[in-house]
Amino acid sequence: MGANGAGKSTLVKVLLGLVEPTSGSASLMGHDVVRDRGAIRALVGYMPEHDCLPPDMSAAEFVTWMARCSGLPAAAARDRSAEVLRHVGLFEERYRPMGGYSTGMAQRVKLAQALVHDPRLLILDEPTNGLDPAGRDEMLALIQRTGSEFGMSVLVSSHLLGELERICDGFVLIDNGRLVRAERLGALTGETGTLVIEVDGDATAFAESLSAHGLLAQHERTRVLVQLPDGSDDAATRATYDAVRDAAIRDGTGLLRLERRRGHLEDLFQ
Amino acid sequence: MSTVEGSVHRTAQRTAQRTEQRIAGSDVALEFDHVSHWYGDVVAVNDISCTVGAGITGLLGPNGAGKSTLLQLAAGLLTPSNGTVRVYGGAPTSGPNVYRRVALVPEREALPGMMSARDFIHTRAVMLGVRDVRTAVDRALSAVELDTVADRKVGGFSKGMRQRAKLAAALVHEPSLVLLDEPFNGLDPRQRLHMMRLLEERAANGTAVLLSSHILEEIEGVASRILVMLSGRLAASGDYRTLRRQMTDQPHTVRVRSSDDRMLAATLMHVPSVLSVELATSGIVVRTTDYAAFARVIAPAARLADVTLYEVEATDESLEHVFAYLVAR
Amino acid sequence: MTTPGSYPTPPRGDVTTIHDLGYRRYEGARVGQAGAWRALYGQGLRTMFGLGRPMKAKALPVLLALATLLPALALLAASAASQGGLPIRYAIILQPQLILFVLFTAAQAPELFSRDQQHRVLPLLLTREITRTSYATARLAALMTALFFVVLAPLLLLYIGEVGVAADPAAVFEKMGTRIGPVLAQATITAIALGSIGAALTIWTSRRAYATASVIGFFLTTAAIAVGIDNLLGVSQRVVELVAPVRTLSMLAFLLFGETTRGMELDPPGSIWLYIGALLAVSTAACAVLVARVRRLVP
Repeated sequence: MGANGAGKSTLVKVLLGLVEPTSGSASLMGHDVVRDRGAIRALVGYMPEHDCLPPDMSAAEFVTWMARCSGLPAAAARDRSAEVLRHVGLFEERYRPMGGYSTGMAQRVKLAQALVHDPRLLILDEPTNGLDPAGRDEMLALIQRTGSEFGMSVLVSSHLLGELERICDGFVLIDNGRLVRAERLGALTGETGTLVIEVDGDATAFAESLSAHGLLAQHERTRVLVQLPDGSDDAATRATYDAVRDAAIRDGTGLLRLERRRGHLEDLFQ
Repeated sequence: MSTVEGSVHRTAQRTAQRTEQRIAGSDVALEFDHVSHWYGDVVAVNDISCTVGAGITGLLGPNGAGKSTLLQLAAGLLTPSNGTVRVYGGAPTSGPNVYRRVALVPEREALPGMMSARDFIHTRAVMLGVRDVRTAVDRALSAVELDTVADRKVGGFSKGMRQRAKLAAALVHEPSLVLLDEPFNGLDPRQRLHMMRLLEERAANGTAVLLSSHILEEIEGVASRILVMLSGRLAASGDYRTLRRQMTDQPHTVRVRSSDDRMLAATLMHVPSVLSVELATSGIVVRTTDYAAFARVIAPAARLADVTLYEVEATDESLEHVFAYLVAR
Repeated sequence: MTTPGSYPTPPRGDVTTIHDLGYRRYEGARVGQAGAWRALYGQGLRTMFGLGRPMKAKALPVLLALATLLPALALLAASAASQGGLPIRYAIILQPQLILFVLFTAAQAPELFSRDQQHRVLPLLLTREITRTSYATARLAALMTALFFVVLAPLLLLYIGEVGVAADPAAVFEKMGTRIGPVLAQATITAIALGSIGAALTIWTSRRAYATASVIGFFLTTAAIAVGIDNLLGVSQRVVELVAPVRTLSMLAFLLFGETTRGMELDPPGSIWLYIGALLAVSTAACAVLVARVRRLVP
């Protein structure tokens, strides 16, 4: 993640060997990206953000060609290409020239060519670009499967934080060419010590009612926030939850939502 | 300004003064009245009737649903094949008095590469008869944070900068109806948040904002009302949470975590509006026909069962789910 | 007929399984850079003649190739009519055909060097078993191979025809056997020269129209310069011949096939090695330009 111009695409290009670093070094799966380029090529699959499909080739032809360019023998390339196109969900369309493809189909072909040589690491740049909500869902599901079922490591570059939160296990944030943060997603989106309550009714009144009973409560637009007691005092924590429950009963307020506040990737950009 | 510019500006200002007295009576910013529009055999907009007022309205739909066409009809760039489009009571093509109050930020690139941002915005301001051009231009540029690069040629701008330039040009004449077609395209999270705040400010001051997107998460945080288009038709309009409640044929799914899930589950089975309770790895998943009623009953049920409630969350209330249901209907 | 309530059972011993259609790893052989080079080369060569693409892509190369065959056929027909009396002169036929070979290069070289940039396929290729240098060589080899066959066709036709129309084929073949050398040599050197120059020019742009224009422009300009300085005092005829690659190729043909024109009798040409050397020098320089440019390309 990172602002436009923060250096994400340059970093990706260095990892892919398209650009040489001015200084420093990087390694993929133990191989240096500059010195050991040969060993890396077969291990990495790349799905660029930009359009990269020749309009007069068919998907089957193109992916087979890409497979051969990755060093697969001709027959194996054809087989793998057919397999992978099936996995990404392209059926009869694969024999038509790609110039007539919709964005959804084009994105699938781009993913297919990245997978065809069975890489260990996938680098995806804005994979849901131009897709409508349904297409987006399908692509995200596909990406999740590549990570879990297919057993690959996946690096996704995107501006859509909601999507990243859904599918990622970790994140790297870059700004102005520098690393800002790199850690597991859980560290950021873990639960905090604040309770978020959404009520079907007057939030202000509910907050006041809670405060009147000794809870640290405040309201924020349509939500009420309650501070949970510090530390691992389970009894005190339970008491707080019970107090909320009882206040709702007392005031006859509906509880639409009750959960501990979590961090969001969006917080990194505020 | 040059002499040509000067005379254009003076004419524009005169027209502005004259027509200000003749502004149409309606306060409703934008109204579609059984509007249809087709290109040959393709019906892009199919019998749409709705209104757009102050605040931020999101126009959602899959690619090809007709969102761009709708926005162009609203801006007066297209005349509907059928029906009427009214902007503040009058036709959007009725003349400068309407143009002055409306702005469209198109999706496609519409910037002359050779001009600097300042020149481009300046020209628009002149043509629209803005009173104090220099101040307006400066204000527009600083609102979108392009003041430091204002004198660079637009052709050299990055995608995000171009979007901001288009927005500044649209806002320079302080329109009261702003139409945006996929404005967050290619913007990074910070740029998007910034643009959203800008629009929220305007909306809070009474501007009507209609923005289209096919990325739901961009709209979710910012639009108070949504219009959903599917294949040219208006599938739904209003607040999306209220929309969800109205989908009574779709039971709501609520996840609940408590100190004794089975106990709570048993108690909830007595509630008439509860359709099913499923035990999950952590907590229970309740399906209910009446979400509001469930919200009122969950706390009493918990006390009755003598359990502590830790979490209550509807899992299908998001805009994504609402959208998916609408598409599937 | 089955009785109600019964269910047809499979034969004894039949095994029922659900096949795993899940994603499978590829454990097979990988042929590395050599295989990748072949794939690039093969795809390039097919593109040269529009194979595997719609009719439109085939039209131009095929038309051009046929156009080069017509003069050869005409000459053969005339020679046949005169029962082998009319001598078959290869270099004379080749001279105007060089223009057609240039046109073929101008039309097809962009398909190999500009199209990948236009469609932005390079990042996909360069992250595979293809280095920048091997990309350049594979594409260049495809262009040269195609040109080789295009140049060979009319010459070979003449060669075969010459044997065929003669009154005494066996004797002619005896005499002529040696001609195949020059045929192959001319085809090879023309392919190398036109191919490398075409590649070096078209690699600079992603717009195919500009690329084609640049190739035509280059050969036209050099030819025009040659004509321009032709009659200038103090300028040797050698310089005139070497400044335009088309002229150099033409002179080479005359020398290879042992034919002369009136002009050449008045002003004898230099040694054959001068022309070969010049052409190979230009080709080497062009190849160097090509590789340097490909190394610098930002995908």
